[in-house]
Amino acid sequence: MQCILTALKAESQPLIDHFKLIRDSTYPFPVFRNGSISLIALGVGKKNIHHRITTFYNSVQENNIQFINIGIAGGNPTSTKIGECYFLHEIKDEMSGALYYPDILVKHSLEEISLVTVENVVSNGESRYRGLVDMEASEIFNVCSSIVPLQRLAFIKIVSDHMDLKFEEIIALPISTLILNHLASIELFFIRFNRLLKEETPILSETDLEWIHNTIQELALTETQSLQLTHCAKGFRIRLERREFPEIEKISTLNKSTQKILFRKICEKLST
Amino acid sequence: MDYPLAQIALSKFPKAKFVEIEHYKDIFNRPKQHFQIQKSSMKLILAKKTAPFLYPASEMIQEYETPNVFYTTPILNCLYNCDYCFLQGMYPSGNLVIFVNENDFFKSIQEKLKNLENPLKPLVIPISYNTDLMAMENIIPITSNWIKFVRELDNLKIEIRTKSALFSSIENISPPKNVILSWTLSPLEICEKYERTAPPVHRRINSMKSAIEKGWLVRLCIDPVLLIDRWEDKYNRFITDLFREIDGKKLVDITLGVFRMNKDYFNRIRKRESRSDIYYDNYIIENGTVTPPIELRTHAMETLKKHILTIHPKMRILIWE
Repeated sequence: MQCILTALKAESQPLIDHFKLIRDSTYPFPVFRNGSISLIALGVGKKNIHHRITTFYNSVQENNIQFINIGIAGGNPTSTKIGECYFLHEIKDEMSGALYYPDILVKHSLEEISLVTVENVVSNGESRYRGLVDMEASEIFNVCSSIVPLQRLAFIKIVSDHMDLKFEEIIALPISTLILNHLASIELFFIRFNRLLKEETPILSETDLEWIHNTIQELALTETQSLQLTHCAKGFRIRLERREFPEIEKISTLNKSTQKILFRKICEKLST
Repeated sequence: MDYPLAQIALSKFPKAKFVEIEHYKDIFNRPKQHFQIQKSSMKLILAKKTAPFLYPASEMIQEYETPNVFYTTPILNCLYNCDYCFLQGMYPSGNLVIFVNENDFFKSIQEKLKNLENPLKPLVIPISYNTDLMAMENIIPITSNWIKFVRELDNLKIEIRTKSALFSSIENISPPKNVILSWTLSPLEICEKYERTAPPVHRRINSMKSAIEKGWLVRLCIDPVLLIDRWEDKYNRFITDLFREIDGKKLVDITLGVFRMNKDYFNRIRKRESRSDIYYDNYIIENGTVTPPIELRTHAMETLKKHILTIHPKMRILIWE
């Protein structure tokens, strides 16, 4: 599952429209979903981030979630262009000084840049910040990296201003259009990023795990034997992706020695 | 960044995006990284190493008949990604770290030479233990710099172990007497299945042949020997074919060893659900090392040793047992 994280409604709307997301009213905050893509609207600043992300994460059955923060940011006038889209490779939290480094693991055509997360809108920071500024990214990294591994985080920012506007002026900008202009590259990134999730697919399927569970029950395997069986089963599955696991011999009376013989036979079958 | 090695590395990647960091561990040692996903998009970290520069040799390496064996780490991690490699269990990150302050490494060796446990025996340093230095030579000339450094030093031997086909990158250097180039070779079936990112074995053999012809001291490493189905046929045939290609009499020695790995590294790799069947075979744990049972490994080593000796009866063979 891929979960988009946005701050402003104007950032969310083009993404909601593009991915045909529908509001999920079971949440007390804005969540939109369509199949394997979701969007959580976090609001401006850090205050809602922890609650909304963890509430969503705890409510979905899916463990394999990628979080992608998409939003606008103020940019240094000499190093950034208004309307340009960037990947973040470094996020600094201005208040705590904490530094975060998102892993950039897929090929992309965007520029990479650093960002500082600030507490208040920066309207006269043209020379103070080298790259971008926003009000959420560091907290998003902080919260998400505590629940998922680092390869499942990505940060995409589009420059809306050169840190010379007040909040009222920023939200009056055509933010949706800024996002819309980059939907093609954002979608391409989603496809490539999603491929990384496949690398994390467990070796054993649900069916495989059920077979292991049944075998453990039927043969009353010890903890060590169960672990050994699981390892053998993984080796078997790597070697033979589609083959079914061997059938377990039915024995009317199972004593310690027949159990051992049966267990050894199964391990041998799985290992050859 | 002012170190010459850093400048060379930077010049090789003119389009790279640079991120300045405080300490390499801020990136390299982070928890919750995915080693294998990072391996498919490795990042280069240039860093300055602090002491120690030398580490006592691992028990995983063959006995070199001197107590003065240490290894060093000019680079952490490897360009290649062999299935059986311990680095994926040792390091939390798949990224590459290059230590650019090579003179500090050299100074520590000069100090060590003054304080050897047994000064009558040489100091032996495998310098490519946690990486493949020669594979990186076109990016950063660490191998050639080390060769230049050790050339004039008495009582020091370095071993540069590699799977690279890049001997050409150092072929114009005259071979010193205290540098051993060691090529790790495996039968084709093993290379294709477990060493997919390393150069094809015939290219490694060609590199090795060139090195022998140019007068370098060359060691052959058949290590790890993987006890796959019909391993005996495959390894014996490989050895026979290999000695048709290279002049075995010109080798310094051969090292042999079965698959073995520190238990903690092995368990970490297994926990990360490695896609290699190596990690789901049956092994025993002996003194903290995961390895095939003793009777299997003794049989394997004896078989291969015997086969090598039938071809080259005087061959010096070092075995990890």
